[in-house]
Amino acid sequence: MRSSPFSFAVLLLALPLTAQTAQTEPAAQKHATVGQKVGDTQFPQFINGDGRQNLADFFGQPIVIDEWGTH
Amino acid sequence: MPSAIKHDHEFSSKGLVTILVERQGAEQDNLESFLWKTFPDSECFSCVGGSVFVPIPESKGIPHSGVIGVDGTLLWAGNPLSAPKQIEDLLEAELVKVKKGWGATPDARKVRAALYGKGDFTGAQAAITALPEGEERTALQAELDKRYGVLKQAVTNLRDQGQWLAAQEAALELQKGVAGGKQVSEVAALVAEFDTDAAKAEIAMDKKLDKIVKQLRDKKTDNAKKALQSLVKGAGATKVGERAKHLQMVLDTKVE
Repeated sequence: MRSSPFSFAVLLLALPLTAQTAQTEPAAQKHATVGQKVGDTQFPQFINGDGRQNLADFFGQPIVIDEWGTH
Repeated sequence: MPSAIKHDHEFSSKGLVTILVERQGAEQDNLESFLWKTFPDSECFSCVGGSVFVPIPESKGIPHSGVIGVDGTLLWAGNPLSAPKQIEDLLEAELVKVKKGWGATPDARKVRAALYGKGDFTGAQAAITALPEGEERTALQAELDKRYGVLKQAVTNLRDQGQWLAAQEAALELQKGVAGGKQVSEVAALVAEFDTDAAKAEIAMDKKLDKIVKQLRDKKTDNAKKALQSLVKGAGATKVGERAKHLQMVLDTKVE
């Protein structure tokens, strides 16, 4: 099957959040260090929000991830 | 956590996304109940996170945060209580990039300012089309297509979640952004889906639920619960009704 220029473009972009890790290991399993691109990951269904669950879908917006506890 | 919510209040309208990941094993309903009772004003993206992989440096302790820039670069990680000013400065600098664009060339900055700062797909597309063929043009075109797909999907997601007012607002915002562009007819069809009798009923009900949610956020819980009970009774088989019933169940859930 031939790939279209459109699909090539999408692949080329490869969701910038994942681009740096795609060749070496699954992007979702690498912890970035400061200065590195962050790999994509899928979160469980969010309370609030607009249904986006993949980190890569927030590209173009600054993100704060806060890990916290209820106890 | 409160500082994350504070930043979210301050900066979300400018583009900040705040993701709260609960790391002590709370279950979904319990977490939701906890949030309504403890932080009713939180509108952050919040999730249970017992085994969720988060691609920032690991930490054995909480709170633990990461700040990710507009281009997906990790800018900072650590205990958010240790560096509040640094986090705020980083966020302000990134939000300037949202507004003014970023990238190695003036063209990239122009496209991104239109795309992310203004939601102006038509302007961004015109700037991309004016670029010579090459890697930059290809990459920016893919960015635009991705962003459009994400925002269009968000309209559907919101509607499926019973958030019809927010969905309609997102659809109208998208329509504004594609005015005069190639996606006009596609978005017009999306906007028209809010004009059916069933959609109007959902929207009317969501306006009522929206008032109740505002009461909850203002900690007028008793009034809100009474209004919610009444709304649920007349909700019928609507998406907003499902959402109202879920909210009622969550508010009645005892936090463990």
